[in-house]
Amino acid sequence: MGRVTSKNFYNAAMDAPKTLPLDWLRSKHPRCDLHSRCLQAVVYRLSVDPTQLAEGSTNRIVDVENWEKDSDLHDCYRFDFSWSGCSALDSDSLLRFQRTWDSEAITENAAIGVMAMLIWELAQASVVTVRQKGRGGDYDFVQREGFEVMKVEVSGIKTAPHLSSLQVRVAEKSISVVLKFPHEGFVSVTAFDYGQEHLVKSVLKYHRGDLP
Amino acid sequence: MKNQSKPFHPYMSEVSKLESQGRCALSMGDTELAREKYGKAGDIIARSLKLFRSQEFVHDERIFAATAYFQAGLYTEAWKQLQRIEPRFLDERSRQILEDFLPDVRERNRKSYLTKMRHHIHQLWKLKKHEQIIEILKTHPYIYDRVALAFFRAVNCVESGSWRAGNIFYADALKWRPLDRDLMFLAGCAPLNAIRFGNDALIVSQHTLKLTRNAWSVCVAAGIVYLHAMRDGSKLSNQAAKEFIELMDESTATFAELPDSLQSDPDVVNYYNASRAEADALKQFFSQNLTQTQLEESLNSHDPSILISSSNLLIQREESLISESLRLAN
Repeated sequence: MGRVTSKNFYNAAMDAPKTLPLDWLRSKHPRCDLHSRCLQAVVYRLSVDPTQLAEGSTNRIVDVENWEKDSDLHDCYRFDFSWSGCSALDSDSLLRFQRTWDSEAITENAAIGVMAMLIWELAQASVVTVRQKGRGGDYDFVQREGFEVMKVEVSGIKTAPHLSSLQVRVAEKSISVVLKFPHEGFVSVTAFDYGQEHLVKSVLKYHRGDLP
Repeated sequence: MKNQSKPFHPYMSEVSKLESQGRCALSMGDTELAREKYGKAGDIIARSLKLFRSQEFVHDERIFAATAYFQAGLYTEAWKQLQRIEPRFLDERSRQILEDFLPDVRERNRKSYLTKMRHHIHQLWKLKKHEQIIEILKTHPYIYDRVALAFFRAVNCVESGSWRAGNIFYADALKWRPLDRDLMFLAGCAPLNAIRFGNDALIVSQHTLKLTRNAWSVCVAAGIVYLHAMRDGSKLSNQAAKEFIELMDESTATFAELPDSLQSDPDVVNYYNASRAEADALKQFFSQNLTQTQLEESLNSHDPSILISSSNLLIQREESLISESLRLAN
């Protein structure tokens, strides 16, 4: 499934990336209708960033780092986000979408969608609320089966040319999640055009306990 | 609020679901449905404040209620919620969110907001700042009703060179007001207009037909097929001739479904009659089983200039109708 169990990078010997169908936004997160909220945003962002996909393409590779708090090690994954089964996502509907939302709003909701996909795959957690607060950031909760509801701080970056821009955002969100939810919580930051290689890169970080 | 987590309540999921549906409605330009969904979400939050004993959470939740009302375009309701917030109860981050949010809500709650925004858009239109108008409509979707919003998006997309987006928004507007004579006329004429920007009218009209298929759009498409095939004195192929006839027959069969005012509009009638005459002539040739050479000879004797002049009249008419619509909307 494309997992590397050390602070390491992907190589040609890795298995083929596991496919994550975007239909999961509906089936794995039924309590807040994430499908209606995020699907178009995720597909639009992944279609145009970091490079414009060819007409008719329905998948994009996303590189993921999954971190545990206070650990120098993280797991690296490479997933294939697929929207091949999603109807009503033709080029016209994406064009309407692009002409209806500003870039920031699209990035924000695409990041929520990516978070939802990864948090299900890597932590078996389901999103139970996504509510917007003011003009900016969202306020989100997730729940793992049999566990209490916890907070997840989500952020999207359209272009992150350097590692530092992604790291800084992860650190900011980490402080925020621990301040709000001292027991446990997640941070999810996705850069849709990351580094010199122009990758889609997402970091999922789990926190438990005190401030980092 | 440090070290104290806001408890989760099931209503939050219900609110999330409504907000997701509201967002989806906004993506489709359906501001009426978005207002309904987001408005309900705001009401639920406002009703649920009693679930919290801590003032911190009550005041924090009011920001969520105000946000939902704001997204619904219910700016007075949003403002009322914000007015009741006492910042001293909020944590630093929420206070910052409130500070950023307040001026925008205050501005939109003013009586002059609509007039000011519409005037601004009209000024930008005169300056041909079409991309700028499209951007403003993204963050101010409630300054017109959903039909006018789609219309403004359509004309500005067309004027900024995106005929495909123009077609999409014209089709949206017609979805909500299917018998609007002006919309029907403008949506149908979009392929003629696209020629002004150097686009291939044939491709544009195929896309128009995919989204907006009525007697008028079909009639325009038929004329475009004909003129395209005859451009630069080219010969009309059998295939183009048959396509032209089929489209004209479809247009004729459904013409009575158009609003009376469109059926009796002189410009529409002229264009229709010119195309119909050409199609009838072609049909006659086909029914007499002419050879390809005989067909071409006969067609070459026809003068497409009537259809061309009729098309030009439609383009002029379209431009003045758009200007008039914009003037009235503002």
